[in-house]
Amino acid sequence: MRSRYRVAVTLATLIALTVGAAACGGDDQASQPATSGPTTPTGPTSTQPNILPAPDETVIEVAVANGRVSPSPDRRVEVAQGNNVRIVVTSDRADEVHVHGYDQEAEIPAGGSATLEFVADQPGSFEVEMHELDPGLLFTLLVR
Amino acid sequence: MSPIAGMPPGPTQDWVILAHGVGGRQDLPIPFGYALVGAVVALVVSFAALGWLWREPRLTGRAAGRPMPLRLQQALDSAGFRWALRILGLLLVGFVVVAAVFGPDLETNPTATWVYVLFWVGLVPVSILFGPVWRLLNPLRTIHRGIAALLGTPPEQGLLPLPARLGYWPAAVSLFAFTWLELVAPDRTTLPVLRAFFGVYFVVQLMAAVVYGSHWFDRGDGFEAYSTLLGHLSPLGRRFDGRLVFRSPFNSLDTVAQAAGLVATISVMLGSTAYDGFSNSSAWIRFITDSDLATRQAGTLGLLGFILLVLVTYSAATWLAGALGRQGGLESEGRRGLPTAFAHSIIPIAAGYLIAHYFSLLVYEGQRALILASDPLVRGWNLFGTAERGVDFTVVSVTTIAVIQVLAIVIGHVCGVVSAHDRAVRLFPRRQAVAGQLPLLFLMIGYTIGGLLLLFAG
Repeated sequence: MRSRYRVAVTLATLIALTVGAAACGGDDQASQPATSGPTTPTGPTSTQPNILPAPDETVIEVAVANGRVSPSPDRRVEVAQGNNVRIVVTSDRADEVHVHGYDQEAEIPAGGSATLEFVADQPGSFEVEMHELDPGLLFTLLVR
Repeated sequence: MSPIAGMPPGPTQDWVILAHGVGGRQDLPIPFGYALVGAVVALVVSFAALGWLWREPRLTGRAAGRPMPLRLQQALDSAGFRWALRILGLLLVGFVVVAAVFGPDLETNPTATWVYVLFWVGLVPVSILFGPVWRLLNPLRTIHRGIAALLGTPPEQGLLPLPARLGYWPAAVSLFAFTWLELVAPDRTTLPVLRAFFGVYFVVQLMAAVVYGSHWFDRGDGFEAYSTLLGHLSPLGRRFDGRLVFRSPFNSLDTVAQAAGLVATISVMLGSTAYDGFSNSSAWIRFITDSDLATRQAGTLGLLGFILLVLVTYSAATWLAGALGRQGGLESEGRRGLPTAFAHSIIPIAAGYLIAHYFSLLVYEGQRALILASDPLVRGWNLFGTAERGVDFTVVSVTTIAVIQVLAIVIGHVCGVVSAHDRAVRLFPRRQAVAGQLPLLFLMIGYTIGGLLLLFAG
């Protein structure tokens, strides 16, 4: 009697788990902004001609030399939601730059630079970091 | 899961080292006005409470509560339901173990998100709603039960009696170890690190349980102690006569078991969350940049520093309260027990911090955990039909998040003040009851304004 009950409860749990997990996923692709949204990674590009930024574009330049980040990495750069963001990073050592949350990445060759360009469509605070550098933070991007 | 742009498929050693366990997005700083309003409300309520609240102890702890229908209690207490929960615990943890052991070490492996988000952060709301749930799910308890059955002994019986002076200390140590892993350890989201930590954790816990019996888990397993302490905020509880009751969380908090190491455990809970907030601040980033310390060393010092800050400020406040009570005739034995006697009143404040800091992480990364769960071994499976979905970042607005953050901190503060008030009027001589509360009241105001500042500066 008891063991039958146990089996029944176990089965119910399994079914509830499966159904629960399946139901919790949210809905279709339609409501999927941000991370895999309309981003335009440009990947590693060495020196680009300086094109004037569009009015709704924010250009952020960072330089890394001798393990130091300039300007100082404690800065926060505010960007209006929906604006374009262009991040230009130069580094004396080969490294990889990464924008958390937006998951934008680009490799930087030693002594070269990389540009990341994307639409800041998701509000929040996002760290922009280097992978090899320690501490690796370049700056914090605030999208409001 | 969002594909990493420009990243080649296949295993990569170069793991994205995430600054805060998992999740790339963090909350925006709250607007200054929110922080100000929160602080003013906390201040006004605190001093109003001193004047308005009851003068005689009112909380009855284990004697309080309205019994739930007997049939409901019988169902909840039935062996079948208990086993269902144990099996659920085994299945959930088993699922993660399979992903961790047999899955590739890729960012699309669900292990890290399940551990740091669904389990660690999810445990907070579930415990606050339903009580000490991890006790009921804990697979280590179930495995230990199996070992005891093989040995032919009751699970409660170990080889040695559990020394009372251990108290919550093992929980404090294991919680510290886990929060260090979560917030400081290098490569904390990679599988080798997670496997090593939990492999050691499981073995140590099981060995201790074999030695001391299943009571070890109550205060030896950090996750159980964590869930149990937060579970004192739940409206569900068990009365002294064994009835399951609905009762005010204040009565539940009143029943927190007092033992050695309780203050340390609660300091780890509050201090680690505060450190996580502080580690985003400009001040901390400047400190790390200018110091010669490696990130790991600085992080270890920062985490320890915040835990000690809570421990020292709280101990000082209760020491001062004792000194004030002494003038009213509080005996030295009563004074020595004061830090432990008031520790329960810090639990709602710690819970407020936890909700404020991790609410949005649970909402967003929790979705990711369910998405990744469909393909635990990263083989292109879609077990639950969620694999193709993306995280919906529109479920809560930036404003909603900020409001919830401030509310959590302020409500936690108010609950802390009320809990401490009732304990004070019970313990202190009548004339000293108001004066004796002041140090703790100021301390709580400090924690609350500090919490709001962290949200404002984070």
